[in-house]
Formats: sequence, structure tokens, C-alpha cells
Amino acid sequence: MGIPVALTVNGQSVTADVEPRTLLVTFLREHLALTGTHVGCDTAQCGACTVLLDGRAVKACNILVVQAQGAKVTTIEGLSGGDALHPMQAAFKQHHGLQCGFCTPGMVMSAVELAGRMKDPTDEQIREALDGNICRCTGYQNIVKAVKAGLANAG
Amino acid sequence: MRVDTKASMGAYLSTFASCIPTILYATLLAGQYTTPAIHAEVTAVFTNTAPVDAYRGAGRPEATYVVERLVATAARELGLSQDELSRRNFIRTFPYATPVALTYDIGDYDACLEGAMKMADVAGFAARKAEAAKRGRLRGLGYSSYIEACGLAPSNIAGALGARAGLYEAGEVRVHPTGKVTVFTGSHSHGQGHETTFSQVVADRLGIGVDDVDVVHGDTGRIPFGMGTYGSRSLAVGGTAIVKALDKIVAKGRKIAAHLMEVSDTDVEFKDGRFTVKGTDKHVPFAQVALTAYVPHNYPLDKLEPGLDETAFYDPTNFTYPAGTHICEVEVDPDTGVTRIVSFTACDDFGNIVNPMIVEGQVHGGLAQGIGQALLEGCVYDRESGQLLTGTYMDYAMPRADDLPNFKVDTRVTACTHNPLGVKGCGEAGAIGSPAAVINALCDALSVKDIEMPATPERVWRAARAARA
Repeated sequence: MGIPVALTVNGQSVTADVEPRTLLVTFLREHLALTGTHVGCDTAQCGACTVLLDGRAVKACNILVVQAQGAKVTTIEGLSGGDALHPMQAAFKQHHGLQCGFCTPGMVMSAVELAGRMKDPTDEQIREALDGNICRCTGYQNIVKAVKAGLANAG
Repeated sequence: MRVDTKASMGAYLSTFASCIPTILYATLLAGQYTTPAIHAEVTAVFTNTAPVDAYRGAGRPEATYVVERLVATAARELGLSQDELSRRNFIRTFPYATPVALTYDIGDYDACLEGAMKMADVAGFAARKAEAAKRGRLRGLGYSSYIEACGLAPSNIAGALGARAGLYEAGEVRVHPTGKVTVFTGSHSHGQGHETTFSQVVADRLGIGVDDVDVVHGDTGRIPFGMGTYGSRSLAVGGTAIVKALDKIVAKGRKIAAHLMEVSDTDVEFKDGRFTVKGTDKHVPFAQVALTAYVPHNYPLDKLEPGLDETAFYDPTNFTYPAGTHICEVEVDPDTGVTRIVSFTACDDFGNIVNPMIVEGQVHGGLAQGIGQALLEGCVYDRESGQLLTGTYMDYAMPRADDLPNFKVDTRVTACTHNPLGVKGCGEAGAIGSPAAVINALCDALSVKDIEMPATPERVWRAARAARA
């Protein structure tokens, strides 16, 4: 027995019957095959699953899909139109803001949300804004550099 | 120097577990110094924790920690600065055989120490410390001049020390009829950027574009039998295997070009992507030689097989010895025990560098990992039940973006003498040098002899209180 859900994912209307316990991240990855959103820790600590829910960065492993009823969800796949990278993705590439890439979708989504809140943040403000996203590879320095450049490009 | 070490193995022996606190630890206890005699006794102990094995640096951070904490403590007791005590004991003649089984081929430890001190503005530290004291904060400065043995490893030396593994690497270079190249390597990339670095090496040697090189790794159905990515060895060992295969490609290419130009192959040289008759401007481009190898209508079939595809296996003749100095400056709030890293500087010698951006990224990541070990990260088990208490990131403190400063990093170069690229490896250095630098800085700030890792706010607060009492 499922519960009907209807939401917008990356600009497309989606309807489905889901088990009540279905997490948003499970719905994105397993029902819609949008595997760009990663599951790192399953406990809302690492931020690899970050997506935008009505423009707000949320951890998709910590929310049920039924809570996203009627909402607009944007995942990493929905950032760019076609082949061109979103300015924030381009900045991560340009500034070596990723190594293994596992945390990157979540980092980029958090950074994109930051762009909506702050125009010209300091390094410290960027570091604070990203403290819900863990990276084991980069030591964060090039991520901070990328986010700064990405914000400048987006502006 | 007499060292007695108890090493936890966990509840079972993992693959390389007992090699970490022995061949990758005791062999590094000379550090950068001319210590004349070293005795190390390591007792491996079974405990109730998870089995342990190699973690970035593996044995070498521990050796560096022992040596550099000792140097800092000795300097304090002798009334010398740590850099002065280091300088008085640096190895300056190479090759240098240490008392613990290794022979360093080359290095310049003064250069990295001086470079780091300049970047860290050591000269201005006293003024910064005084300013912090006015705000009730304790500032400390800590050094760590580390060495590591990388490019793992000569199979025979590892075997003689008890690690019975083959430690070569394999590389295959397949030149296509178009002159484009696919490289198959046993060194897989899980984020270290091998595709970029290896492509640069191949493009540079063959005089073709980096976009004309494809790198295939990690697919055991396609690659020759290799050993993988660990011990900061991918470029030094895997890259050398590729270079050896490239040498075979060029040697065969010279014979094909000699046939096409109707000269002896000893008169043909390969430079800037073309085979040229020495002393003339007569030449054939690399791509034409490649096409000829696969469409051998005009080809010395009686002497050469068609095709241009070569494999090489490379077993190194020595370890490589990256070395450098890390300097950490901390500021402690004695009322809360919170330690802030206000500045972290690394000046490293990785030999020749192929891609500076990738090298910097590796150093940043290593530093974050070592700083995490020093201040935040630790597996905690309940003493009574053996239950792991740090099972999620809620309890296990991985460094987050706001736990770390922007690092200041730079390099000095002494080229490795025993591989054709002159490279040493950069993957682990950050994690090897940094824990000792952080704890030395913390001990300096608190005026204490020792503090246990991870130096959590609680431990720092207790140490600060005890020091004041």
C-alpha cells in the first residue's frame, strides 16, 4: 500500500505511490535514478545528499519524500541546462575543488544556496556556511576558493 | 635513541597490519638527523578494537611524531630553539645510510626549514604571542621536520624486512594508428588525478597533446597485473613503469622511422614529437610512424613485428624520500580549551613536480587529515563493554571547513636520483608531518611537556588548568 506523492524535480512534475517510510534521497536515487545525489553517512552529518527544497539546502537522507509533497526539488542534475556546467560546477572544476568527488554534489548544492543568501562572503563565512558538508580529500581550501569564484561568476 | 613501542593490531591481523609499526615505522626513526645509533623494539598487541591497517602515512606519522616531539622537548630542555637543534643535526651528505636499514638518496632539509620559517613569519611570532596574551589567549609555535619513505617499494628490501609482497607496478602504452595513445596502468585513481598527471607525462615524452592520451585504470579486466595506489607511489613507481614502456615505444619507433628514411636507427633521434635524422632536418612525425606500424606495407617485417604497443613492469631500486618542514601556530582559549589553528605552513620537497595544482591539493588534504588526528579524530571504545562509542559523525569528529585555516604551502626541489622522472611522491606528506607540528605548538602554548592526541577542548582545558596551578 503506497501513499501518493506529487512534486516537481528539476522542473519536471513527478507523481508516484511510495511506501510511507521512503526517504527523499531514496526516492531520488532509486525511483527517479537521479544518482548524482549521494548517501554518505545516512545520519544527516556529512551533507553528500544535499538538495534544494523550495530553494533551501536540505539533507535528503533526513527527510521523507512525503514531506516534499508539492515542493520544488533541485538536484545536482538539475543545475545546468544541457551540457554547459552551472557557474558553481565550473568553478569547482577550475579551482580543483574536488578530488574523489563523493562530497561534491552536496558541496555544490550548499554553495548554490549560499549564493542566494550572500553576495561577497569572506573565506570564514564560506567555511561556516559549508560546515554541514564533510570532505576527506581536499582539506576544504580549494573548495572555499571554488565557492568564492563560483559566487563571483554567478553574480 | 632507544624506542620501545606497543602497537595495537586490533582483534585480528589485517593484511599489512604488522608491517605498519615495523618496516614503515622503525625504519624512519632517523628522521632528517644524523642520530648515530637507534634501537627500536616493537611489540604488536592484540586488542578488542577493529583490526587496523594502513591509513594515510601509515607508520611514518607515528615515527615523525616520536622524533619531532623528542626534538621539541630536547630543545626546550637545552634552552635552544627547535629549528636550531634540528639544524645542528641535519643530514647534509648524500647518499646517507641511516642506522635503521634505509639509504636516503638526496635531500635538502635546510631549504625546506628556511622556506617554512619565512612563510610562517617566525620572526614576528613573539609580537603575535604578546598580543594574544593581552586578550587572555595562549599562542604556541610548533615545528615538524619530517621524512618519509615512499615509492613503495623495492620488493627485495621489503621482503628482507619481513613484508613478503611484490611491490612493482605495471604500465602498458598502446599507440593507435592515429598516433593517439591509451595508457593502461595498475595504479588506479580514486581522486588523485592520475588521468591528468599520467597524460601530462605521456604527452610530454611523445610530443603529443594531453587530450590525445587516454588513461585506463581500475578495470582488472583490461589492465596488466598491478599493485595499486598507496604509499605515495603512483607517479614514482606507476609513472616510471609507463616511462619504461614509452622508452620501448620510442626505441621501436626509431627503427620504423629509420626504415622509412632509409638510414640506420642509430642515426635517428626522437624529439618534440618527431623522429629526425641526426644533424639534418629530415624527419617523420610520430603519427606517421604509428600508422606505418599498423599498415606495414613499407615496413621491416623481417626484423620487426607490426604494431606499437608495449608493456613494462618496474620494481624500484630504492624508496623515495620526500621531506619537509611543517610549522603550526595555535591560539588556545584557556577558559574553554578550544584550540584554533591560526596558521599552518608546509614547505615540502617532493622532487620534480608534474602538476603543481594536484600536488597542492594532495598537501591540503593530507594536512587536514593530520590536523584532524591531532585535535579532533579518535575512535573511542567503552572500557567496560568494548562497544564503539564513535560510530557516526555525530560522535567521531571529522574536520569541517570551519575547523581549518587556509594553509600556506610551497615546495623546494631535489630530484630523486633513481627514477627517470625524478619524482618522490606527495600524497601522504601532509598527514605525516602535521600531527607533531600541531602538538608541539600546543605544548608550546600551554607550557606543558605532553598532551594526548586528539587534543580535544576537554584535554586542553585540563592541561591549561594544571599548568596554571
